[in-house]
Parts: sequence; structure tokens; C-alpha cells
Amino acid sequence: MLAANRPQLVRFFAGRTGSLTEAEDVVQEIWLHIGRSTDDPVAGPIANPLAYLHRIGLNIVLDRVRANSRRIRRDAGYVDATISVAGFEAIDDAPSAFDAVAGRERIAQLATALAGPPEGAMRVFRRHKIDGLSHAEVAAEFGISRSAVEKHIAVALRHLRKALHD
Amino acid sequence: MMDATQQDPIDAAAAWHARIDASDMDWAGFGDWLAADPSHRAAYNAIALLDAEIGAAAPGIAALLPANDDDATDAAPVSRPSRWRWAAAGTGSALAAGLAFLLVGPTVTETAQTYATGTGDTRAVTLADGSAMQLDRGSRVSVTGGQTPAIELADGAASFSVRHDPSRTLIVRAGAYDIRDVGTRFAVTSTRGKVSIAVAEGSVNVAPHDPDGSAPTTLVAGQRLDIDPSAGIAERRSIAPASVADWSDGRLSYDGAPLSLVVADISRYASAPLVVDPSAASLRFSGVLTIGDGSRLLDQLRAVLPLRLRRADGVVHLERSSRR
Repeated sequence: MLAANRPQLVRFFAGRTGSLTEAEDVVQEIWLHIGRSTDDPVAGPIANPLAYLHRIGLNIVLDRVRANSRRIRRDAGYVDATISVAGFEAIDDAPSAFDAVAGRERIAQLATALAGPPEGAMRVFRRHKIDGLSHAEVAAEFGISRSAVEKHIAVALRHLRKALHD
Repeated sequence: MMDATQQDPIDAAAAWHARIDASDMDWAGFGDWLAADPSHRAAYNAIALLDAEIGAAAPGIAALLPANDDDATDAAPVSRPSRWRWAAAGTGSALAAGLAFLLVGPTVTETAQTYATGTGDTRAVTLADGSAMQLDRGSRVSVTGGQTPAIELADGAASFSVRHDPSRTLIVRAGAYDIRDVGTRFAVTSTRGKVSIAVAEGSVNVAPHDPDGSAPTTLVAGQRLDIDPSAGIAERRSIAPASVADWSDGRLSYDGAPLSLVVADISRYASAPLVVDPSAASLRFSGVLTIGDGSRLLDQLRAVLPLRLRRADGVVHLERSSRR
């Protein structure tokens, strides 16, 4: 399945990463991921394999982006020496995840932004992201189309980014 | 789908990101947009990282948001337990973790939150009280309560970084034991009744969940306690604090550890159940294993220990070989 889609995936991830070499690496990692899953009950039936492969790859790239920015922060000395206990620093996933106080403040900041405007879009976004409903479930609950749910979520993300970035 | 050239890259990135679960997602169009300009990649990084961060922090955020603030919730005809979906572009390898979770089954109730990872994924979670939890692969944890979380490690390994707050104690249940903590960094492993606790900073108390008259054991930084109730063993040993939760660095390091303990760790990454035969039970291992994709761990062990593998009924038995 991967072989047939390989050119398409390499092309997509070359765009995503900006590097053909890295795209090849990502596609290789996707392959490892799938290969591991074949004898694994977790794999299960997948409705849309191509979308699944793209999403796996997007997560792999995001992990790499996160690891890079962590290294850059560390190299720049932004990470306080007191939290550089080996074995913990490297598992820091979210920013400041292991700086508990900063983590708490960040959560409060996120919650404030999520409770803020625009009201309709944030409601849809919270129902999906915080309460865990699928797009289809949110659409049914609010009586709107799935495409409208996507638009609300995009608007919410845009506002969250702006609210939290400034 | 959209007029990408006219838009602020952040707006376009948000629009694309909101569609990645859609069945008719235009992946080629998304790829072309990303490739069109480096600013598009940067904008998408920002949006995807933010979305993943919110997903990872969802339980903590939910605790801070007013309850039932959505009219739609009240109006919903059927009240249903809320459950978390991590499949939608969450943190790290959340996609596979989400699949694992969905297949593990709906163990979540209104008050308990279950996190599960597959054999290929780890996961970082920020708890409602600001403490951080890192789940290793092949692990399952349920969390109840908000500001004073009670955590049950059903299977696998997790490390914790707990905010110091004298007014409350975080309790992690693993197997038949409770680990109490008031601000420290430690890791817990639980596999079929066997429990290991390793402390990097501060101290924890360990006691049986059902009191049996024994005094709680205090572990301080640089100590590890391995308990195997079925064998009546509780071993305390000194460790390098830096080696705590070293699985998060892709390594497993041991110093004279019983084979059963090593195999309990390896099980988290293995596709088939592993069983240590009595013939090999007395073996001990010192050294560092590289986790990688998990498939080479047994080979690394066999390179050092006199072990033979026997497969039967989908189970891998580790037996002592006569070689050496």
C-alpha cells in the first residue's frame, strides 16, 4: 500500500519539511510505523489508508519540529539548568511541560483564550478539542454541516494563535 | 478549496489544519500550499504545535473552564460520558495512540480519564494540578480527580514531575501498591503485578494499597524499589538519578537487574507476550539496551545472556541455553 503511494507521500512531505531528504526519512518512518502495526492488533481496519499515512507522517514531522525547537532553546541557554536532569529534559513534550509552575500558568492562559471570543467558534472548538467529540458529532449537536464545523475550528485556531502569540 | 495566495499564512494554515480529518481532504493541494513558500511551513508549524499543545493539556484546561458552559451540552438529547479523542492531530504520535485508545475500549467514565499508548508511541500529559506525566509505549493510565489527581497505572511505565504543594498529595496506584508524593520526579512501572518505582528527585512513600500492617517504605532520590509480590521479593537498590525513566531517551539501563524485571520493561515494546522460564529466572543483566523500534531488544539481551527463545501459541518463552 505504501509503495503505490510513495511518490505522492514524498512529494507531500517535501512540501511539509522543505527538504526532499527529510521527506524520504519521514516516509521511511511512516513505513516503519505501518510495518510494526501489521502484526499488531492496534492497527485495525483503516477506512482511508492514504489519509492515515498522511496523518501519521504529519505527527512524525511535528515531533521533529518540536525536538528541533527544544534543541535550539537548549543551545540558546533558555532552559534553566535546574531542570536539566537527564531523563526528564528530553521527554519534555509541550513547552515547559516539566516546569510545573510555568505549565500551570500556560494552562490557565490556554483556558482563558479558549473561553474568549469569538464565542461561536470557540464553543465548537472546545466541544471538539476539550470534550473530545468528533467533527461529525459536533455538527450533529449544533445542527450545522461538517464543513461549517471545520470553518469554526479554523477560525478558533486563528484567534487562539493570535491571542496567545501577542 | 481556498484562495491560498490572498490569505495570511496563519489563516490558511488553520483552514488546512481543520480539514486533516476530513474524508475529502485535498492532500495534494495542502502539499502544494506548504511547498509554495517557507512562511507557509512556519505558519503551519505554529498552528499544529498549538493545537497539539491544547490537546495534551485538555484535561487541565477542562478543569479550569466553567462546567457545562455550552448550552448545546444541556440541550443534547442523550447525555454521554465525555471522552477524549487524540486521533485528531494531537501530540507526537497521537494518531496511533488514539487508535490504541479507541480499541482499548470505552473505559472512560465521567470522572476517570484513560490514556493509552500503542507499542510505537509515547505521550506527554499535563495534569489538572500542573504536574506532568510522561507515558512510555505500551502503557495505560487512568486519572481521576482534578486538583488532587489519583492516578492508576494499569500497565506499562510512566514518569511524573509533581509540583510541590504541601496541601495535597498525588497518589499513583500501581499493582497492589500506592505511591504517595508531595513534589518530586519519579517513574513507575507496572507489569502483571510487578511494580518498580525509581526516584530522581525528592522522595516518595510506597505502601500496599490494602494495608497489611507493614510500614510504608520511603524512597529517596537515587533509589529504586522493585517489588514482585508473587515471588515475595522487594529489592531496593541505588541508581543514578539520571537513569530514572531513561526509556524516554530511548534506552533501558540496568545494574544487576533480575531478568524478569528487564523482560517486564521489554514487554512494553514487544508484539508478543514474553515469559521468563524458571530455567532463566536466576539470570541478571547489567548494561544498556537501545529501544529503537523494539524489535531488536531481545537480540541485544541474547548477545549478553545465555538465552534461547522458544515460540509457542503466540508467546515467546525465554529459556536458559547451555551455551557460554
